[in-house]
Amino acid sequence: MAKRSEHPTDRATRLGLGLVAAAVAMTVLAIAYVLGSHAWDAFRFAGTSLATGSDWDPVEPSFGAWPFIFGTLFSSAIAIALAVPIGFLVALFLTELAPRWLRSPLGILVELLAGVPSIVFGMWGFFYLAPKMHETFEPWVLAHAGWIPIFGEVTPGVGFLLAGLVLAIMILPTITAISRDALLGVPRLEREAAYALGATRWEVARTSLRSAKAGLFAAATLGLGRALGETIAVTLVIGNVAHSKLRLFDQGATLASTLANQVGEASDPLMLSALIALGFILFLLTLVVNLGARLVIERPWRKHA
Amino acid sequence: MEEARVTSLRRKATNHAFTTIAALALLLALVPLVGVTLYVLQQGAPALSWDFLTQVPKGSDDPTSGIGPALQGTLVLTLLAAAIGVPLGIAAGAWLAEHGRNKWGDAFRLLLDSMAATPSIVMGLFVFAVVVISTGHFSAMAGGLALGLMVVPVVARTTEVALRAVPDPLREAGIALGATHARTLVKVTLPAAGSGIVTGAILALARVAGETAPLLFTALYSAYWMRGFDKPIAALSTFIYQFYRDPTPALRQQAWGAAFVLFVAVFGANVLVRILTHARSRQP
Amino acid sequence: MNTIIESRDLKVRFGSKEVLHGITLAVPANEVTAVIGPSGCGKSTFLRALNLMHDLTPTARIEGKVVFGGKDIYAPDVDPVDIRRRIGMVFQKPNPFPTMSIFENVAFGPRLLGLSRSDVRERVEESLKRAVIWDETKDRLKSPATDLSGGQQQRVCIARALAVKPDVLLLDEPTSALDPIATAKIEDLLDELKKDVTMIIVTHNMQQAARASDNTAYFLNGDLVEYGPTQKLFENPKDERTEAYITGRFG
Repeated sequence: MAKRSEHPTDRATRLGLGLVAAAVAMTVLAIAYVLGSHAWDAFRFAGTSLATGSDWDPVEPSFGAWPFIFGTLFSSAIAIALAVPIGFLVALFLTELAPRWLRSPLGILVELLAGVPSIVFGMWGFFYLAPKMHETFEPWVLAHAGWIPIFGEVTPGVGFLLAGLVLAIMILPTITAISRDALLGVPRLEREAAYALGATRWEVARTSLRSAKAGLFAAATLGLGRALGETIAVTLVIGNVAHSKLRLFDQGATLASTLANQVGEASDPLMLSALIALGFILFLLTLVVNLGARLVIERPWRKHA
Repeated sequence: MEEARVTSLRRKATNHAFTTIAALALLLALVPLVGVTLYVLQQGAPALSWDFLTQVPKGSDDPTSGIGPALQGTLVLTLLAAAIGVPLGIAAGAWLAEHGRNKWGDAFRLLLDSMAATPSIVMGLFVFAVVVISTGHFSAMAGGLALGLMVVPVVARTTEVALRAVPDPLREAGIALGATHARTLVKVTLPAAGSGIVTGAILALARVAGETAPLLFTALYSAYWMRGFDKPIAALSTFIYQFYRDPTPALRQQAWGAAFVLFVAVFGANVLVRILTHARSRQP
Repeated sequence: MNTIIESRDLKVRFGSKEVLHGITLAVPANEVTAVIGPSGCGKSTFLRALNLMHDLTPTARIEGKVVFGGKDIYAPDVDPVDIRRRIGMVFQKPNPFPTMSIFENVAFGPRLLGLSRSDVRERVEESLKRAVIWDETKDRLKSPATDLSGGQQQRVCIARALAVKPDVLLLDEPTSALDPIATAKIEDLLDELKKDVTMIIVTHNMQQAARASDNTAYFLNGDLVEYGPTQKLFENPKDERTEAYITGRFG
């Protein structure tokens, strides 16, 4: 029996919506193309030293963005190290361990962290936390554990650690929310079976953790993606000095913060191209991390269903 | 028997310990929330006054100096973002919900997620390269476009989820009455998904209202009331960025005042929406 | 007997699985015809084939004919929108449109047809009266349809289906989600409405079929086992499978 043809209104709607969807889909590709082509001049000028060189001096001109790449990675690594364990624990608490009536209100509170504008976090970090770091925390750490090289030797307050801390606070709601979804996705039957065997709440939570592994990995990676791209809060608390040693208390700079800082100084075309190159590198970085997370979520989920 | 009781005690202790640790983690997570809120309210409150909200910035120590243009700018930019991003997002989400359960849909979702993951400053740079460079000037339009592009993927996703959640029997009832798929989508499915779509849009718009980075390369900044969509425009976020470290204390105070207003607006919208959604999902 | 709709060797497949194996059944006009059988026998599939609802399922394949108004509704040049106006459907679970008021629910169909505002209002009142729910709703037409009880909602759905003045009304287990009193009210309705609208009702409740229908068709595993006047089928079934089902030996 022949399949009847589509009603004309339906056909028009389907094509219309599809057109819009296609246009939106092109945007990401457009971003890559546009940024790439504008950055081309800088890449041609500096070659691979754009990414590996450490001398960023628009006057010379010399464009070595390695310290910024380093700063982006280092500050995000700190953020992940802080936010992932706490995020997982909070997610566990909200899905298994907390008393039922508290779960929703507490969940809302954690989500609200995502509702604070990033510049406000930056100001809080710069005016409130940085002095505390500079006057109290950093000197104390150096006095007691200064021989460990990761701490560095100076106490400016602003720097990688503070940036990592502020980033951690900002990505925490994302990690918690996705981890929560992952844990809630563990089939009820599994948890009930564990309870029926006489397991304590914590023991059931532990087994859920194992089942939700893929989703938890996705949560961490998506958090990482957001940390890599965060601009303003980091700009305010990282110091914006091009250091690239693994020292927590050192000041630093990220790809995003450099862009934010040098926006006024993009006078000559080569400099502009170099700045756009920074944006391009950042774009690639976040794309790779996020696509990686997506691929991990998509597959194991299908196995479950 | 004795052993079983001892093990059971140890397990109970572990349970208790980890529950406490997890609870402490939660409290730790909430400390910054409380800290930031109190700090902003405390620092910003002294700056507030009717003049502050309605007057132009007058530099330095003029006590009638205000953030009027910045407020206007944030509103205009958010409306632009809504006008551009919400319809596109809903259309994309509708396509995904109705026609996207196949590999094309998966590919599109991947691209949408990539778009959502694009750092806000990169989005600003993109619009800069496409609009500002070609037109030769910074503009409110460019700023609205950058923010709108950030809104699209979020609204698309929430729209898709909301539409998928509409139970099939409702769609079938529409079709059985002789409506076309298109009519059913517009008259039955979309309205039924309405609240989910609206909350998603509001949350997305609240977020972009607080953004600074995408405006740096597009809308730039202005000290005056809006002079046209093709001219630079002020915004609360860029105002703060401009003056937060100014040597003049009065200007720094104004930056705090602006931060107060921005915080209350964005955070407040979040609180309202989240409480409303959780309240509604509690209903049968 | 005056046949209003009939299937001729109707086969329905989902993917590679054939669910209905060649059903030939003629439904007389202005009577209530019940379709009974154990779960999974294909009775709902059959019903949905009558108003082209399988168009919504991508894996569905239909063979054979369904003749209505002298034409096969599966012919490629037939407009499904028109068919569905003339052959309406009421679903198992009451499904009023949640964002609309009672009035708007019933007005949905007439508005699609482009009736004028006063005609729409008339049609809504008429339909609510035919569904015997006018008295209970006339003072709250603007309130949400979801405020009503289950039985009332189902009668509103019947009114909504009647509002486009169909020739045939298909009812897919319309009372299975309702309490006995609501069920009785709807069974009474069927008897009244059949004067203008032919009813085809799928039910898993044999007593309901025996009470409320003029003809009964018994389906088993995708086949039409027996079909005839209700009284005769229940008192003196021709096929032993029918007898086994109605005496409760299985199903």
